[in-house]
Amino acid sequence: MRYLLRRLLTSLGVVLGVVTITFVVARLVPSDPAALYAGPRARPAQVEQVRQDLNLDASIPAQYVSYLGDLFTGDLGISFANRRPIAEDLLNFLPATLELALLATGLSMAIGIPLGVWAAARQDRRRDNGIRLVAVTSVSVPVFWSALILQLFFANRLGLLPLSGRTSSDVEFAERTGFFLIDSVLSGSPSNVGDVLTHLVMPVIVMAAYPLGLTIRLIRGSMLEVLGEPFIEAARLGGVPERTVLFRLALKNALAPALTILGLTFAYSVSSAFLVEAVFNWPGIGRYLTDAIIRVDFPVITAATLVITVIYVLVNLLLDLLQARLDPRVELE
Amino acid sequence: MTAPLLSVRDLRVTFQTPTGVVRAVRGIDLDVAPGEILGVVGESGCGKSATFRALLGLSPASASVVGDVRWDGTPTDTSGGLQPHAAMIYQNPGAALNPVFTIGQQLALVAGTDDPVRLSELLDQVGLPDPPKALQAYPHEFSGGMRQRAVIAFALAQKPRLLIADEPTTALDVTTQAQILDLLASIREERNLTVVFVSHDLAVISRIADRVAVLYAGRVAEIGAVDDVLQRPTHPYAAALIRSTPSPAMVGEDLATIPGLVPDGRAEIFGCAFADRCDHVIDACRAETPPLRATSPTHAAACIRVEDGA
Ligand SMILES: Nc1ncnc2c1ncn2[C@@H]1O[C@H](COP(=O)(O)OP(=O)(O)OP(=O)(O)O)[C@@H](O)[C@H]1O
Ligand SMILES: [Mg+2]
Repeated sequence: MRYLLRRLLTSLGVVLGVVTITFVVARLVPSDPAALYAGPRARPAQVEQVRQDLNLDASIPAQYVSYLGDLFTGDLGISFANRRPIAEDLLNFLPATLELALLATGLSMAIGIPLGVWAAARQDRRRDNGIRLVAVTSVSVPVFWSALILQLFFANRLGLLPLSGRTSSDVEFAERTGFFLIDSVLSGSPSNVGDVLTHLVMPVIVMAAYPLGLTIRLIRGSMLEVLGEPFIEAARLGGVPERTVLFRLALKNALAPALTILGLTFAYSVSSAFLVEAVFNWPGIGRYLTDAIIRVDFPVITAATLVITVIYVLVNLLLDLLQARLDPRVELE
Repeated sequence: MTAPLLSVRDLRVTFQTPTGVVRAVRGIDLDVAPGEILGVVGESGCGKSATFRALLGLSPASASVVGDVRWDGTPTDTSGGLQPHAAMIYQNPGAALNPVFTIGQQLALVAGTDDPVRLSELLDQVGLPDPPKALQAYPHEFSGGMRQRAVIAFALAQKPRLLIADEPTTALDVTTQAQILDLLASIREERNLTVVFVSHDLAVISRIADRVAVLYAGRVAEIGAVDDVLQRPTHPYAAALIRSTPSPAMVGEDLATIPGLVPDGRAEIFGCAFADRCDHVIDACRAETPPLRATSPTHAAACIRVEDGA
C-alpha cells in the first residue's frame, strides 16, 4: 500500500513535468494565441478583448499557476478552433480510441501469446518458421496499406463489412460510456451490437497487426530462454504433461519480461491511432489531435498530450503491479 | 553381485558441435545393483553427466547415443529408457525449482495430487520443517539446503526405483552437505532405493557410496567396492586421483598433481587414454583400448598392466 502511494506520487510528478514542458513550449512558440483565437479578420481591439478574456495578458508564471488550477478542477481549457471546452470533446473522442486500442491489444495477445509459445516449442522447425513469418509480416505491413486492402476486399468487393465509421447512420442508441460495444449492449438490441461489431472488425484487425507481431516475437524469445532452464527439464522428467509445461510452468516465467513491452504497445497504439482513425473515419483522439495540430490549436494539443501522458503513466503503474503478481521475487518496495 | 538393476554396455555419446565432433562418452560399461549407492567420480569433462543425461533421454537431439542398456534384465532404449524408472537430483537446486510457482504447486504437478496432506508428507520425509507452510513458500524464500530437500521431495514424488544425483551437494556448504548426504542415505535405507551419486569429491563418495566407478575420458578406468578402490586402487589414474585428493591425515604434505591434461573430447584416442600421463606406460598401452578386467570379484580396472603389479 505504501508502495502504491509512493508510485502514485512519482507518477504525479511525471505528469506535472510534462504539463510544465508543454505549457512552456506552447508559450515559446512565437505566434500570438490571442490573434489565433480571435481569427484572421479580427480587429486589434477584438484581439485585445480576447487576450483579456483568456487571461493571456497576465505574467507567464501567473498564467502557469491559473492553468494548473484549472487542470485540477478538470478544466482543460477552450479550443481555439471550435471554442468548445476541450474536456468535453476529449470525453467524446477518447472512448472511441480506447475501445479500438483495448480490443486490438486484447486480440493481439489472445492470438500472439499462444503462437509465440507454439513457435518456441518447435524452435527452427516448420511451424516455428511459419509463425515467425506471420510475425515479421504483421509488424512490417504499413497500417494504411493493410487497411486499404481490407476495405477493398471486405467492404467494396464482398460487401460484408461497413467501409468506415463507428455505426451505420440509421443506428442510434444512448451513449452512456462512449464505448459503443458497451453502450449497444446496454441498449438491449442485438442488431445494435451487431452493427457496432461489424464496424469494429477492420480497424481492430489493422490496429492489432503490429502488436501481434511484437507479441509473437517477444513471447517466442522469452519462452526459448525459459525452456532451456533446468526447472523445465526437471518438470518434464517428473512426468508433467507438455501442455502444462509450456502454457503454465514456462509461460508464467516468460510473460513477466514480455509484458512490460506489450503494455507499452497499448499506450503507443493510443497515441499512434490517428492513421487507423483517418482511414476508417473513426472519431477518436488521434483525429481530434491531428486536426488540432493542423490548426495550431495549442490548448487542444497541450491537453491531448497531457491525456496521453496520463495513459502512459497509468499503464506503467498497472504493469508494475502485474509484474509483481507474476513474479514473487519482484519486491514492491 | 546380484542381478543388476541397471546394466550399461559400451555406451557412446557423441555431440555434434560447430567446432567438430565431441566424444563425451567413449564406451562405458557399468552395472548398478539394486539397493546400492554407486559413486561416480572423475575429472571435469570426463563424461559423468553426459552418461546419465543420455540414459535419461536428456541429450540434445543432435547427439548420437548408442550402446546396450538393460533395466532389470530387459533391454531398453539407450537414450531415455531409464526415464520411467529414475528421478534426477540436480547440482544447483535453485535452478531446478521454478521461481514463480510455490513449492506446493510444483510438487502437486509431479506428485499427481493436490492433496495437501499427501504433499506435506512428502516434504516431511525430506526433513523440511513445517511442511504446510513450506508448501506455500516460493523457492527464493528457502536456503540452499532446504531447496535441495525440496528437489529430493520432487524426485521421491515420482516414486522412482533409481535416483540419479548429479553432484547434489557441490553447491552447498559443508554442514548442509553432510545433512543432505545423511538424508539420501536414510531415504535409500527406508525405501530400498538405488542411487547413482556423481561427485568430484572422493571424501563424499567414501562416506556415502557402496561402490565407486572412476571415469576417465569417457570410459570406466576402475570400478569396485569403495574400500577396494579408494584403499587399493589398481589403475594408475585412479591411484593418482586419490593421491591428489587432500585428506585430514595429510596436513602439511604436498599434494600430488597429475601431470598433463585430460585428452580433449575432439581428439581421436588410440589405446589407453591415460597413456600420455602415466608413469607405467609401455608400448602395448597404445596398441589397443584396454578392456575392463576383474582383479577380484568386487573390483575391476581397465589397465593392461594391473597384473604386472604396476
Ligand atoms: N550438449 C553438449 N554439446 C556439446 N558438448 C557437450 C554437451 N554436453 C557435454 N558436452 C561435452 O562432453 C564432455 C563431457 O561433459 P560432461 O558434462 O559429461 O562432463 P562431467 O564429467 O559431468 O564434468 P563436470 O564434472 O564438469 O560436471 C565435455 O567435454 C563437454 O564439453
Ligand atoms: Mg557434470
